[in-house]
Amino acid sequence: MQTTEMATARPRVAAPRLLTPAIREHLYVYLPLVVILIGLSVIAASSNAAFLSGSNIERMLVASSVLGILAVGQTFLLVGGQLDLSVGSLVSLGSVITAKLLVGNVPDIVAVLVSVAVGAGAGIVWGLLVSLLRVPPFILTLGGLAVFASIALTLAKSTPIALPTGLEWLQSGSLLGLRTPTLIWLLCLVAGGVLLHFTRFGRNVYALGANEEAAFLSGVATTRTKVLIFLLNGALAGLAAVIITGRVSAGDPRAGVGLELMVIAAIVLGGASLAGGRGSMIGSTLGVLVLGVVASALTFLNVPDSYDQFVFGGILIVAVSVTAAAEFRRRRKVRLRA
Amino acid sequence: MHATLATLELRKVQKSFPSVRALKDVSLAAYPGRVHALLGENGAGKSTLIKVASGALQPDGGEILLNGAPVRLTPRTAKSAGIRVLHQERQIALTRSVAENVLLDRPTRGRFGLVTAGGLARAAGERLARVGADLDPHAPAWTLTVAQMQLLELARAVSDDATCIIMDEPTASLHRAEIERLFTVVRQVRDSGIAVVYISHHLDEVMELADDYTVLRDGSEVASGLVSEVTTARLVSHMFGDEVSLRREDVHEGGTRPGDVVIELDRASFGGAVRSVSLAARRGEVLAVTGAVGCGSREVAHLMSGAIKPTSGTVRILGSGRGSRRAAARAGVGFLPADRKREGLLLDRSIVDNALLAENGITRRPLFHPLSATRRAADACRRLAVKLSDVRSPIRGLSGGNQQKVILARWLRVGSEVLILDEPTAGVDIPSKSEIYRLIRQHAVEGRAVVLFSTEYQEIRCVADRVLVMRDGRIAGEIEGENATEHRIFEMELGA
Repeated sequence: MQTTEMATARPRVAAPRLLTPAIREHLYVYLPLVVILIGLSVIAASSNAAFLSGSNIERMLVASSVLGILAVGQTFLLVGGQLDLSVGSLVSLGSVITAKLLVGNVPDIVAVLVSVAVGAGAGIVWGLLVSLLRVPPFILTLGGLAVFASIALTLAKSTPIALPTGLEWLQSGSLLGLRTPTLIWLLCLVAGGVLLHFTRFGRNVYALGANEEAAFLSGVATTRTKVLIFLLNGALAGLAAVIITGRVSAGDPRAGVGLELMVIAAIVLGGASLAGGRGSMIGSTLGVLVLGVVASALTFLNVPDSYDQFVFGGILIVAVSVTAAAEFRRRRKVRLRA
Repeated sequence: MHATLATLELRKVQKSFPSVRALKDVSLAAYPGRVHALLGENGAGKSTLIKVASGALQPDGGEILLNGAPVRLTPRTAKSAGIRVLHQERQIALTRSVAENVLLDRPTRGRFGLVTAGGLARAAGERLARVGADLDPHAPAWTLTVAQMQLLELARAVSDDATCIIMDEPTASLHRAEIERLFTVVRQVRDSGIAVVYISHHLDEVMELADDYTVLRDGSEVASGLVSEVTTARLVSHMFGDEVSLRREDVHEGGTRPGDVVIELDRASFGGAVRSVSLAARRGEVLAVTGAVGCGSREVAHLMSGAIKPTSGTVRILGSGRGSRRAAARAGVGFLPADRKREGLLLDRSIVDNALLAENGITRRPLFHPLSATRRAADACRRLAVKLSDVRSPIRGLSGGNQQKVILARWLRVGSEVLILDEPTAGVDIPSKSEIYRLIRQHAVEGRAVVLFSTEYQEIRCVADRVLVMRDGRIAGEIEGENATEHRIFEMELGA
């Protein structure tokens, strides 16, 4: 009996235990992104070697920093099963407010703090409404997106406000070859990564997104966690607004148009799910970098602007479908193996 | 035995799941104009059998015959063959009207092929009248009582082309009078020539209503025959077995000494579900609370855990009168909810995340070290003998029993003094069951408290020191653990 089974069964080789399930899961998400990153860079560089020059990389990182900072905050929300669509307009509003304050000769630091505070305030409101009144965040923040856009346009009388002085440090500063916006992004990224992956708070965010009811019944402070991640996201949107303002030296009431979808696209590319409980800081960052490299590569390859959205959308569709298919197959395997 | 052909016949059907053999050579034949009772404890394989009989699951072996002809059943072919299932979970769109719900699967089209509210109401009215249900077709479904919803579902099932109706515990949340009314309707349905498969573990109902019976235990068919030729006592011994491995004598072993009160309800009410319930759980004992589905025991479990607050009366959890769920968890009240997937687990997260869910939620230490977390989770799982290959893999891959043990580990890890367990062994295989029973006993014997909410009588018999039986949101009575036989609990549940 035993021997016949042995004869028919395939000999079992002990699988190497080097790759933990968590790492393997991450590789599924990260590898395609890394391949896209390298592939695109090679293609772009082969037509114009300047693509991989220091100055272009520097430019790409600066250009990605706004999206990158937004992605840090929004990653907490998506992992926690939440969503904030209002960030695009919040960036516009923050930009207008910052410019108005600077025009009124307010010190830079105050303008920065006000912008961050406005964002954080909006976040607290969303967090409280979502957790206490159980309003679906999608609809709620969609409303916020419209309202903030309108406030920004009204405050700025629909035209960009030029900065006479102020925020020069965002243009000039540099450390280890990294410009100030990149450095701020990096700082947020490291802090956000530690908070999400190496603190109890971060674990609770995952638990909240994976199963809110189970988390609540296990003693997780679900309401507090929700409010905090909305707050964090809002504050980072306020910070991103300052950076965009400094980069263009103007308070643009349309500065953040469309950013909310770009940031969600980047995070989903990075392995997060709108259903919550999945995603990581590294994944989101890779997603942001892919979008940044694509934008730059299209410019370098002289692709007309009108194709940009097509390429972004295409990458999103393909990447998400491939990951979903892999995930589906893997899950089935897990079920069968058990 | 019967001259006619069986409407639906299962022959030596087998079905295995990754962790358990759910059906072993089970046969069942449902004849037109007869009620066939399918009996068995929770987890005996009844639900799996229904799924096979309605095409939702494909059997691994055996045959399915419709009117004598072998077929391969899919949900679609089952439906076109006239097989209808009334599931235990209501399949009702609460925000839509009664009429729309009756015709949910096939809205009647009127003139010009359009679906109109009036046309739906007329067609639904006829169907409702057929089962003697006096409901307003225009009323939104959420305004119905549970019994009315039951009739609505029956009206939906009894369409012109229905040949076999499978009812899964239809009386679970009904009062005696409503049950009588349902029986009348079921008899009408039967007399119209439809085959009825009736699932219940209320034996008196079966004796009253059914013509044939089949008893399942642990996935096997242990008995079948004519109801007129069997006694209730025989059926009980078929269902629970004479020589089951889970016996009070083997598990209980005494040793419990009731100590301080840990959770106390004083005339606590919750809406209409719990009405002025007073009870006290003590250290050093296993208190079991039981009752039919909808009797309010589930709400009592949530009240005791701090997850909901009473609408009147008081709940004192470990001496504190105003506790949130979080405060209760911090104070040492562990909770294992009834619906493992919806309320208990982070299904897609690792075993580590699941085992440390409570610890991460209530600890005051801010930092989380992935490596030491893995070690602590592995340690906690090992202590409960959870069978797993890697604690970092998703908990989805574990069997029900092992998933349940991980939830227990979650609370033992944070040193919970009180465990509130709601159906801890639902969908759990026998060996895991007995391990969980031993854990429960050990917890109580060591001077901590366990409150067990269960509808499985054998489970209650095995581990309880004291049994409270609930009916209609009130406590109907209390039985000492050693006297809590299936029959006494039954009687108290029904108010007989």
